[in-house]
Order: sequence, then C-alpha cells, then structure tokens
Amino acid sequence: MIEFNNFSFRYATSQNYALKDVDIRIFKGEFVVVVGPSGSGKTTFLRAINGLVPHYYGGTYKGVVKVWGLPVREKKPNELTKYVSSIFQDPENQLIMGTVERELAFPLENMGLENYEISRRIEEALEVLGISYLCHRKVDEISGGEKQKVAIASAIAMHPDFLILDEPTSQLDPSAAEDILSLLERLNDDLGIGIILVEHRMERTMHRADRLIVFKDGKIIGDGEPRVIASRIDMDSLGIGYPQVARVARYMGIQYLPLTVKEGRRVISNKIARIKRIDRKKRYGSTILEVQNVYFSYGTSPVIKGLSLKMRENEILGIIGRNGAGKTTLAKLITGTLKPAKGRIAIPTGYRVGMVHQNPNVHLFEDTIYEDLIYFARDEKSVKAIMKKLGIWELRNRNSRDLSGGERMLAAIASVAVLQPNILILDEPTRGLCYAYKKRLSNFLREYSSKRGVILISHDMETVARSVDRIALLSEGVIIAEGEREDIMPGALNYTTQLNKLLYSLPGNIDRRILVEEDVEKWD
Amino acid sequence: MIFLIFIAAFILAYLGGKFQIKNIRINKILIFSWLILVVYLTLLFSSPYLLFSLFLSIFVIKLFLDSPMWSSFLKYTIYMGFFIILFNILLNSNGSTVLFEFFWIRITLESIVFSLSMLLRLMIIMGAFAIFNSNLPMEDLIEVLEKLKFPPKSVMSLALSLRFFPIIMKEMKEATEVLLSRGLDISGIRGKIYARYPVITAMLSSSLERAIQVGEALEVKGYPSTKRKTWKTISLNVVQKYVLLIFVITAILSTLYRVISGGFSFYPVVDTFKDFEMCIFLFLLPLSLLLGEVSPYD
Repeated sequence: MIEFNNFSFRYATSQNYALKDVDIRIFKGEFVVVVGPSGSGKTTFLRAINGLVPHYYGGTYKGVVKVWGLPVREKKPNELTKYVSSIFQDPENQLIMGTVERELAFPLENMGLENYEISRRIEEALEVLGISYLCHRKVDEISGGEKQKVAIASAIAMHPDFLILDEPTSQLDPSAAEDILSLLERLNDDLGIGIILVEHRMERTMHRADRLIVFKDGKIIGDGEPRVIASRIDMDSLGIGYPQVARVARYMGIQYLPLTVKEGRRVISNKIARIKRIDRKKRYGSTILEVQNVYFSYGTSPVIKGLSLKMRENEILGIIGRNGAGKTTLAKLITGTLKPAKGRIAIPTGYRVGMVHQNPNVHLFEDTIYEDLIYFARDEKSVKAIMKKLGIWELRNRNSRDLSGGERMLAAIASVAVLQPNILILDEPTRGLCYAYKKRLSNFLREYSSKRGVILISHDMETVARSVDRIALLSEGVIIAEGEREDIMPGALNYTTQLNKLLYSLPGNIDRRILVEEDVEKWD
Repeated sequence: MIFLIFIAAFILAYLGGKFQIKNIRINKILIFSWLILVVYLTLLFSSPYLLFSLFLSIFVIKLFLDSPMWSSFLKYTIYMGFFIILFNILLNSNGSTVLFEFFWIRITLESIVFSLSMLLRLMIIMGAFAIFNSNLPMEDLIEVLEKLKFPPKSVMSLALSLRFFPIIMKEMKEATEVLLSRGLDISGIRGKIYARYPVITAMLSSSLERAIQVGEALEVKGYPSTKRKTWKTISLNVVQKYVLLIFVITAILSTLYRVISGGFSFYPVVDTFKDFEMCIFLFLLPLSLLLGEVSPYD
C-alpha cells in the first residue's frame, strides 16, 4: 500500500508548494489514473512515491509518504525499486544501455541478483510484453512505442508491486499508445500490479481505471470511481477534458457518463438522433503550394513515390497516415530542407514556409521564451499578439525548460508563427497537449490560416477534425485519399473521431458527417 | 628496399578491402586486448621494417575477420597521409641526402622516409580500429570493460556517451534546420560562426535537461548500488587464456627489445635493416588472435 499522510512539498527553487496536504491511500492491484492541469502537482505526486522527492529533488518536505510501511524520506530510490518501478514520458531518455537485453538486465544487476535469476526475469518480462523478438536489438533501432515497451519490461522485471507512469504515451502515435495502455491493463488484470498513471488521453484511459484522482493547484479535488468524479467535476473547464462521447453526453444533460463508444450507443442513442449539423463552407483563395509528381528516397529506400498535392490560401490541410507513411519527409520537402529526386514543388515567389518540428526543444534556446520569439521576429507587437492568442503571454519570462511539455510546444509553435510564414507546417503538435491546449491550438490555426495556408500533420483525429478543412491520407509515399474533411473522415475505421464512430454505429436517419461538437448546431 | 615496403603496404591496404577468406568471431576480451597491443607496439616502434611486419599481421587478420570499414578507414588515412608527407617534406629539413633545394625548401630522402613511416603508423592504427569497430559493437565494449574491472563510474559514463551521442547529433541537425528555416544567416565564415551560438545553446540546454532525466532514470533503476553484480560476464577458454598470455609476453618482450636495441634512427641517415627476428616476432605473435575464435553456441 502507498500512503500519503498530510503531505506537502515545495521545490527548493520555487515559492509555492507543488503538493499541499495530500492525504490518500493507494492499494496494490488498483488502476489509478491521475489527471490535472499543467503544474497541478501530478508529476511531484509520482516523484514522492518513487523517492525522487526528496532524494533527487530537494525542498521543503512536510508530512509522511510510506510505501508498504517504509517511509520514503528515509529510503533512497534504489531501496524502493522492488516495490515501485517508474516509467517516464520520454522513451528515449530513460533507456540507459545500448541493447534491449542489457537494458533489462541493468536494474537487476543493481539489485545484486544472481546471473540465472537475471536471465529468467529478462526472458519472462519480454515474453509477458510480447517483445521477445526485440531481445538482441539495439535501442537506437527500435520505434518509440517499442522503446516504451522495453521501459515497461525493464520495470516489471524488477517484480514491483506498483508501476508508476508519467504520461508514458505522450510521445507516441495513437496505435502505439493504445498498445501500451492495453498492456498496462493486462498487467493490472493478470498480475495484480498496481498502476498509477498520469495521462492526458482521457478517451483511452478513463474506462480502464478503477479510480480517478484529480489534482488542481497541488491539492486533490476529486478521488473515486472515474464516472462519478467526471460527472461531479467540470473537467473541460479544468482543461483536462473528457472522452468525446462523455462530453457529448454532458451537453445533452445525461448524468451517467458513457466512457466508450459502446456505452455511448446505449446511453445517448435516443437523444443524438435529433442533432443537426452546421454546414461550414469555406472559401479558398489562390493556390499557394503545388507538389507535382515528387519522388524522394533516403539512400535506396524510396519514401515519397510520385506524390502530387495542392493547397490554397485560407486552407488548413490535414495530413494523416500511419508511421513511416512519409508525412514528415513530405513536410521537409515542402520547406526545402530536402530536395526531391524527381518532380517539382511550386510556391509563389516571395512566399515563405515555416515548420514546427515534433521536438519543441530544438526551437527554444534563449533564456526566456519571449527572447526566443523576438530573436528572429523583432516585431514586439506581433510577438505579443501571437503569445496572447496561444495563451503563453503570462509565461513569457520563463525559461522553456521550466515549462510543461504542452506549454513548450505552444511556445515552439509561436516561435515559428511570429515569422508569419505563408505556409505554416506543424508536425505532430498535439503530443503532450491537454484538451484545453489542443482547443486553443485549433482556434489559433483557424485564425492564422486567413490569407495563408496551414498544414497539420497529426495522429490526433479529434484535433484534426476540429481544425482542418481538407484532408490528405498518405500511405507508403503516395496520397490515397484527398478531399474535404466531411468527405474523408466520416465512417473511417481508424481515421475518425469517437463521436463519428458513435454516429456511424447507430441506426436511423442521422447526419453522419458530424465529427466534433462544434459541427452541431445546437445541443439539447 | 625501404620504398618497396611502403608500396607493398599501400597494395596490402587496397587488397584488404577486396578479399575476405573467412569471417570468424573472436572473443570480445581478446579483440580488445589485441587492439591495445597493436596501438602500444605502434607507438613503441618507429622502424618502418617493424611497422610493416605489424601491418602485414593486421592484413592477415583482416582476411579472416570481416571489416566493412577497412577500405573507408584506410582511404581516409591516405588522404591524411598526403598532408603528413607534405608538411614533413616542406618543414623538416633534417637528413643528409638532399634531393631538392630551392630557397628555404630542402627536401631530403630521410624526411621522406620518416613521413612515410608516420603514415604507416597511422595506417596500422586505423586498420586495427577498423577491424576492432566491426567486430566489437560498442555495447559489447561495456561488457569487456566491466570484465576487465575498469572503474564502474567511468564505464557508466562511457555507456551513456555511446547511447546519447547519436541522439544529440540528430537533434543538432534538427535544430540547425529549424534555425535556418527561421531565417538564421549562415552566409560567409562570420555567419557560420555566429550561427553556431543558437544551435549550441539549444543543444546545451537540451543536454542539461537530458542529463536530469537520465539521472532520474538511473536513480529509479537502482543505480548506484553497492550490491551491483555484472550479468553475463565474458569468459575465456584455455586457448583464449593462452592467447591473452601471448599478447602480454609480446608487449613485455617488445618493450625489452626497444630498451636494449634503442630506437630506429632516421637522421642524419636512415638506419639499415637489422631486426629480422623481431620482424618475424611482430608478424607472428599478434596473429595468435585468430586462435581466439568463439564457437557459434557461445
């Protein structure tokens, strides 16, 4: 059991308490999801369990945290590893060794286990996670999802009672994220390992949890059965959000919130038939980007194979497709970073292209994010306006390293947007973004695209549906479907929203082109 | 004769990239020890005859141990060799056999032989590293260092460097792309120098953040630990132990030979060939590496 008794903690470098008067018990075998806005204390809560607070991050420590009766304050993290294993956000930085096998062996070597025991545990952990095929692979050669699975395998090889995970899927694409979450559910069901998970993707986690803990300003404001807590607390206004079907149910005044499409069918099928779609026709301007029969290869492996594409002013184009389909390569070809082997990319003379990369860190290098933005832009007014639109003006004097992943991404977007490129490309900008930030981003892009063009590359179907006008579906270097979002997304098995899946699975005369809440004229 | 040796060395360097008799797997500790031995012997001797014997030995080993890097390493060495020779010829006027004299430029036969010997030395080191890198993955090097009882913290630092260096390089490339697209001016030398500032700052802060995250990961994985035991330590069979002994003996005898016989002298005239036994010794003994083959079941 993990026990917090009247626990408060303030980091040495901070004026405010990160956690205040936390009093809670978590039992082995529970699947707990921890949510809250950025800076609400979720990560500190996890650090207080694994001992990083106070042994790695010093500060003012009040109250008691115990793991199986052992006071964390008196036990170092390495003494807690057999009870608690941790998995972090970035799969890259938590793997220490060069090969998968050695990575799994590393914590076991630190525990001083005998050779045969280490071999046995590695074998078991790889098998439980279904990644035995990765055993002798180099860590650099495996995908992000596989790296996160290796991190989990390395954690469970220690036979812990609790796994604590800090946004383990925020850097992953949806299918890899789904894989990881299903895996956690299985570890919890089959092995009884307690899961304490901090996560933004509510639609993927809420139905799996036994318990939902909501943090705000360092305090727990909700703790209990997820459905009950979600109906008591307005999670949208906290910026956490709901699964889309639950939000729709709330709009309809339903008390029992569905958390999955299946539950949605049962709960809101009668009422949803009455909703009407708003027709959002948009007028596009002249063509500002024309990709004509472009080919590109990395070495001998072709990535883009005769791709053609057009984009006009006032248009937000969504580019979707599975990993390795060539989305980022296409973006780099448009920016001119890569040169096509064959074909032509035409942009009107004097038009500029700006790209926001997946990793926001490569955009930010000055002492404060304001300095980052003003470094190339020089125009104070536009910098202020864009920062305000993206809601990061208040953070202007902070160093990017002190911001949450979501805030950092918004700062990176602002750093490119202040240069007012005629074509703004965003590569996976929603990774690590909570609901409120995603919505803010969508609103910003709609405003920015006026007289300009935006290309949004994302796996996040809700944000894509909320933001874009047109969609191009990329597969193996070619576009296999292209058109208005209302024509491409509805009815898709994978590339559509939870709400649309719900509408498609209901009988009767319903407008099945509705994708997001904003498409509906009025909610009853 | 001395020039024939250099020509033969270049031909062998070329042939080494073309021919492969077999591809055997050698015990990791032995290949690491062999590299140390070869580097030591190369630094110990400057005689072109002895260096050639050693290079010949490396060439034979290359025929039995696959090394895709061999050709590119040696090609690069020969490019570098051009500058070594050029600087030596132009700046080193020692030696008594003057071949050409023009104002301050004085080219001597001895300075040419000396520069070719330096090139041969570089070829040996690069050739040995080409074989070593192709046959001992960097991850396995950690295992070897642990087995050889290197200080654990140094081994951990090396493991982290090997793991994160490629990631930092990738990020650096990405940061440069981003900054170029944001209007960073890299025209001219001045622009190129100034352009480094934001890239380096971005990388520095990114690396500091990574260091914190890696530190967190190490802590929760139980490192450092007084109980730590190394898994899967590499073992040596009897033959491999003898090979290791041969390497040690080679190093000791070579050191004694060098102390007793004195160094090879290039000036004022190049020494004559007088180390026949030692040449045979330096050719044959490092070849014992080939006895350190590991079975496919290991």
